[in-house]
Amino acid sequence: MSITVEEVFETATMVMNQNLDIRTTTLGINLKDCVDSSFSTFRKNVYVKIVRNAKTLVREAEKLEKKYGIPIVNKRISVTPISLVMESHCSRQKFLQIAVTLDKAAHDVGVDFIGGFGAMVQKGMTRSDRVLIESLPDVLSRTNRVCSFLNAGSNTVGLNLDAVNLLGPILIETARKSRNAIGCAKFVVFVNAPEDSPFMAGAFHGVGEPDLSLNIGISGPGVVRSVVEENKDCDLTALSEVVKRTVFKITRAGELIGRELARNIDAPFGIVDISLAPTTAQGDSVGRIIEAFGIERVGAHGSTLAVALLMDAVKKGGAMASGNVGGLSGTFIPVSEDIAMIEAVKLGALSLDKLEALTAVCSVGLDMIAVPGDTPPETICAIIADELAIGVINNKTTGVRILPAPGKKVGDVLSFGGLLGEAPVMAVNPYSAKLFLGRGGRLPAPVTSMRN
Amino acid sequence: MGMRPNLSYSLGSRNVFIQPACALPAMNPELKKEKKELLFISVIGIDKKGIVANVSMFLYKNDINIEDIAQKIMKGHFVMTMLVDMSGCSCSLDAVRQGLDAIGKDMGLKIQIQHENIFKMMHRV
Repeated sequence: MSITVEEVFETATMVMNQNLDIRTTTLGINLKDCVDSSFSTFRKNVYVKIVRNAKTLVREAEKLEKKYGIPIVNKRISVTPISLVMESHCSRQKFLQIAVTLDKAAHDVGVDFIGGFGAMVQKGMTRSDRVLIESLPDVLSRTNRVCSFLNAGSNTVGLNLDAVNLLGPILIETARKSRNAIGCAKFVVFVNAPEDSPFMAGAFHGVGEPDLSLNIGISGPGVVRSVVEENKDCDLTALSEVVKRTVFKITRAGELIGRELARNIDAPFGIVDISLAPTTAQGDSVGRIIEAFGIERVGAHGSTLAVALLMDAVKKGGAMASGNVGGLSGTFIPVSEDIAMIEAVKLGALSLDKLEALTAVCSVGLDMIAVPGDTPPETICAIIADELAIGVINNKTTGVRILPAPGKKVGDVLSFGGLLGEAPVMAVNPYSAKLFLGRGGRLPAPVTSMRN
Repeated sequence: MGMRPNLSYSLGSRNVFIQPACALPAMNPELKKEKKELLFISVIGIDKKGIVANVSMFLYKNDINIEDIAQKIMKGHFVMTMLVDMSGCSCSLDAVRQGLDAIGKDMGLKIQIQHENIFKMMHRV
């Protein structure tokens, strides 16, 4: 059964013209066995374990890039949630020190990010969780590669509003302390956080994971847009089919490369996260897929339907292609990292309200959105709480990565360059939810959680 | 005997054989019996004299055997694919890639070389 010219052409074109790539390969590393009553021994254990297990990651990934002609854009590491392994060392100073250790280990093995500096606080916070949150402004502004997450709720226990209420002031302080508010781009707050996601900033190595796990995040918005453009007249069912078939193929490529890389670095293969993840590179935009569907600009009425169709087709194609689909698997719609989203915000086609509606049907949530620097902290908490409530009630992962841009107003732009792109500052509702949020406590688990 | 899992079963009058996932050639290349190292070279661009000559001369010089060759005009592009065996190759894959890139640059073509497993995975279930 030989491969035809058409098939070779299709794959080669995906790579050469449509930006098909493996967006990330992330090695999950368990740090529970590094715990020691001596803090210096613990730090040493963490550094040694990370470097020992990840030292060949970048080299082996580069070998496979050459073998298969498909770029593996990012090589990363995720670790056990740090608050868990720091329970007996919880001071802000020590949290900063362990973050510096993680940063150094990431630097020394040549990965661009290390995720897992975070906590699971869906039902309540330990002292360690609270101190970790308090340490975030320093950690995120003083390290380059450390990414942080918080899981503040789940559909089985509800939403921890007390934890969310801490975040407004923390994010404002983080933005002030770091250049261009970049520290906030390295923090995401979730509900129903997947424990095996390879994508930053929210990747961490969950407590139910094995000692090591190699996860792959495959992307390819350009490939999907290209087939959508070739199918201008088909109805929604046929359109879904076209997307499914394409996603099937790119997921298979991810599975092949993930398995081989896992074998080569001697780590168990974890999951393929099939998420369409945009970059600001020409042709690498999820927003452009929505436009190719026939929506003038992302954010126009009809966009929610379009994202729903795309999201569902991506999941179905991925599920058929791999028995190991995990992570977030769907479609990311970050504002600053997607040229069509940036344009839509600048034109007034996409507001924060419509973006929130889109996140009800896509994976993740309000991602890489800049808001004015003078946004009250309780409003930032309220934006986060709204988004997380969508996830809790609808049984899905949602998250928020929000950047309060110091000194900037609606219409200004926060520029990062590189993968993070640029974020036009979006308007927030001027009215307050301060009294409501001030009640604190926990949103009870939804009735749909009672399945036992 | 007896230890090997029997994955054949009868469905009505038809015998069905389920291939275990680990036996897929793409999943586990070391199970392949032949020792060939097969890769696809794809050349995309505008048709002109000397494409096949240049590429195949380069392959010949590096002890790479051409197993199959096909060409077609698709969506206005000239597309040529070569299935090559790298097992006797006298240099590294990196060097081959660089050599092909140089030919591509000279002739205004896009040349890509990729291991055959990627095509099997993407286009065969």
